[in-house]
Amino acid sequence: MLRYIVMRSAAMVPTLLLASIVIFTIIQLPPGDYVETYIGDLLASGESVDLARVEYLRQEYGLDKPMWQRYLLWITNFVQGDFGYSFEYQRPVSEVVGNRLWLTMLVSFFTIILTWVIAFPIGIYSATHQYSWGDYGLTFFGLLGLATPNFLLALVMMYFAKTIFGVSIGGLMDSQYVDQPMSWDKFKSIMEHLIVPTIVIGTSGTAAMIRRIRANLLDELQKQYVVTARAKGVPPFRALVKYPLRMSLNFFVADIGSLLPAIISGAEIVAIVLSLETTGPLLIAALQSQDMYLAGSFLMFLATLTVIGVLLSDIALGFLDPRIRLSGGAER
Amino acid sequence: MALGWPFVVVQKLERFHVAVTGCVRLGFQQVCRKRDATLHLPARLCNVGTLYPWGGPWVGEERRLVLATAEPQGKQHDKAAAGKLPVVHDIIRIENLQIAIDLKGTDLDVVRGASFRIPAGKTVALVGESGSGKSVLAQAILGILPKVARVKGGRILYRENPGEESTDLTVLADDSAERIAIRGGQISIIFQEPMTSLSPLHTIGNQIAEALVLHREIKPRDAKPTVVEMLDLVGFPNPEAAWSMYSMELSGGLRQRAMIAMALVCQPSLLIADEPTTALDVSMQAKILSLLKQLQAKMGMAVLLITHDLGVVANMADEVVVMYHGQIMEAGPIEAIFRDPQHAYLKALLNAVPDLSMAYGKKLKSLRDIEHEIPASMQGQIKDRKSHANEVLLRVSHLQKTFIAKKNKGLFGKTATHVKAVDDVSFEVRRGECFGIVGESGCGKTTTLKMLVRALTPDRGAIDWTDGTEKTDLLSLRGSDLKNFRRKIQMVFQDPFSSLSPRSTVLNILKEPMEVHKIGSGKEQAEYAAELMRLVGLQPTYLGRYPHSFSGGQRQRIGIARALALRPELLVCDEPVSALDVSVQAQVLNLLKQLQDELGLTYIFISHNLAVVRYIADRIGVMFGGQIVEMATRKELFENPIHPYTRALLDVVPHADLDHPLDFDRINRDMAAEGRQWNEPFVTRSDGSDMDMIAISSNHSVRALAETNPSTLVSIAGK
Repeated sequence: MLRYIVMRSAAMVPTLLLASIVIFTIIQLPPGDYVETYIGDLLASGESVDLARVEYLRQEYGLDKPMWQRYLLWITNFVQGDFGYSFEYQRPVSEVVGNRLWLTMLVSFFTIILTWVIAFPIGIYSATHQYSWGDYGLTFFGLLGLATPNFLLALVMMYFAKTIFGVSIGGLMDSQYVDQPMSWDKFKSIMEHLIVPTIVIGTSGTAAMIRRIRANLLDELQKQYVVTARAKGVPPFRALVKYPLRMSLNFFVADIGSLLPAIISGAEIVAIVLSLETTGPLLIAALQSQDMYLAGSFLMFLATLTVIGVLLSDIALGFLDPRIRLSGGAER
Repeated sequence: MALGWPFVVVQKLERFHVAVTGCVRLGFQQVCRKRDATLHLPARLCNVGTLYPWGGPWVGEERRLVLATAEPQGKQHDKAAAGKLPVVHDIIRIENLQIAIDLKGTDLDVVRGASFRIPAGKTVALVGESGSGKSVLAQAILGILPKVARVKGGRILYRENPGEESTDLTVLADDSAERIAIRGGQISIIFQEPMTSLSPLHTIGNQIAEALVLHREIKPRDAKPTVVEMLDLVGFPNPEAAWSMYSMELSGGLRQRAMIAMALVCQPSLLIADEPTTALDVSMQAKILSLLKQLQAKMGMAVLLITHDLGVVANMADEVVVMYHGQIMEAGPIEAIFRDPQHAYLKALLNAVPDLSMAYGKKLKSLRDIEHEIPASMQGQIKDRKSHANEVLLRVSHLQKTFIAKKNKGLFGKTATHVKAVDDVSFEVRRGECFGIVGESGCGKTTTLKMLVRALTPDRGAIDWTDGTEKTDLLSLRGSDLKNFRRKIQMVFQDPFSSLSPRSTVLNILKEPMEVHKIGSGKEQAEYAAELMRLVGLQPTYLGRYPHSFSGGQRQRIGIARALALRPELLVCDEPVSALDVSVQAQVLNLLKQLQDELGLTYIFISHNLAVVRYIADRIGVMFGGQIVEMATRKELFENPIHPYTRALLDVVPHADLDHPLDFDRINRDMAAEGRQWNEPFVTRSDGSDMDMIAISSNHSVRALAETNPSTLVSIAGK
């Protein structure tokens, strides 16, 4: 197991290296660079352009150097913890992202908890009562949730909140608390604002999760060892939890890999609609304005988290499932 | 078990009460762990006059045992005690039981008015082919019927001890507390498939202890000693280590033993064994059967043995119940059933089983014969082949294949455990004959086959194909040569269910080989497919159907038709009948025999069933541990076996004949000896001297030390 973990961790390096090259290339693909976009914006708003300043910016950020040099510069700094400088915000990337990071994590955390709390009981019920009215009904609502676009749901909820309750649910806190130090009132305000985004972002995830739990559990319920457990006299609920449910958790653990980056990236479009102060809109804006270091570092950050997430879920699977732990390397 | 604990002599009791302090064990079984409790011990736990060690594994605790009163059991008991044998009571009485499966609104009756009994401490065999309702009946006794099935009428009366009120199990809800207490605690079951009936995620110890904790007053942390003792009792070589092992680390035989340990750890009064040995090979089957017999003698439980193997029945049962289409055809004591069968179905069943004691030329009578016809297009090639009969067609020499069984990875570097799956195998197959290979699972017979059809590449050795005067080195063929050659060797697989694609029609299944080899136009292929169907006795009108609408025997015939589609010269059959019911086994075997004769085919036939090989093969090779240890013509091998392995294999085949019982004592001795302790000349010396096939006569050879004199071998065997 130890060897496995060491080998897997070592394998992360080339993977990330490749990812960084791909990310950098893609960011550089559109014609022009941040400075050109900047000039374009200035001209469009009727302001004059100081060519000296443009040249200064280009040199300052190394935009006049060939691409491979810029890549090397970026990646070496990245490894050392310097994520670069955001052109647009005129601040280091770590500061720009850092401010929004904990709010994003808060939203994602509540969303994931909500997803699990709703999806697990319903999934288990649907599987154990397959083809009953309850199963059909829950499946119907699940599919509705899966089929409704999140941003549409967000708009609808915003509309009703405004017309019926007269409250604005945009943002993650009331406007007077923005940039204020943390206080009890601010915390309450954040919690109030969390409810709608959590539900909106959670719906499709919950629906998908219900379907997966149901499908996986149904597969396991037919297995012989479930009958063995019943024949042993294990009470039904205990037999369900100890054997088939435990077995169907494998997919759930395997899911952790995609969960980590999802926590950080936040649901971009919903975040824009609800004007949430999360990282999602930040990333989109950075890509639009070719804010290269911000976008690149952010994407690289996501790639790293994905790779770490997959590693974690693989290790967890190894611990959870003796078949994975014990049968590696056999050839047939 | 350490002695020195107080002993108790159990005298003439049906049941007795004991006041105890501390923990009490009776025999190997821990029965109570409460302080100062009164024990109720069922009579079946104790034999009159036997010394039982009492006490617990907790050192330093005072153990004081007071035998309180021997409770009188009323008049009935007095009679039994007064010299007569105790009257055996029925643990289960099934009265007019009816079970139906709900098929979208309509009821399909799977058990129709079955009535029989299971006497305490006896073995009742429930015999019938698949679909006869025998497994459903077992599920009904346990209360684990699938959701679609329900008991429509009748009663299942259960009574653990004589003199008790009997309980009607059909009235109790499946998940009621009372039912759950009986299930696993008093009635338990072992299943056919040891591979899938244990959870892969939990240790063996955990799964066995669970049953104990559920039904006995034992805390999980105290369960280990009893479980380890039970594992020891079912024959685990290292029970202490097995406690923390996972099922995937165990062989099929050991998994079945773990299953038995799990079923018996609570000392049930009835054990239901649902085809307990069907998935195992003969030698393992004999060991498991012997184990069941021993345990039954030790624990005194009744056994309901569900099987379709009459050989197993003859060796195990006290009473037999024959079931057909949900109804009981015949029931009675074993002697009556085998010596004087009455019902036509039972008679037919007895005739359909290949047996080691039947005459060599005799044809099996299958329950349902099939008519088939040879298409005109195939007639021509037959004459051509028959003229070359008896020439060597295939010569295999010194074939070898090594697998990596397990990679052990340390932090630095890895070591791989290599297993020689096939080790120096040589044989030849003559045109028009059937060459049989027998051996237990894992002996390398399937690996050998796969190398013959070039699905695996051997590490060493040669395979030569002789066609008239033309010789082909099979292993050197590449590309289109290889593809063209594949037409000459085709394969029939073991499992008729997974070897046909569920998503193609029979027509597509039969056409596919021709499409691959670009034979004929689409129309010709369809016509030929119809001919193939008639060849294996199926209606050409079935061509549009999917495999799921056929029975196991019909599917296997489709498999044979597919193998014959390319008009091969050599048909390689890998256990073609071992997944089939006895009643269809004879049908498929007869079909294969007729086809061989009529089409002039050559067969290589693999099986672990000696009786089947004896029925169909002309010459037989016995494989063990990747090597052929003995090779002879059929008659020579069965009448004059030389190699100790062959002899051991012949000893463990259960005969469907009361006059040839299995020698369980001997099997137990072998089991105790752990592995096969052969002497020279059948094993190599410590210096690793060469082993070779020693020819005893022109048609009989045995693997032994290279310089051994054939007459020595014969004389060793004579002893």
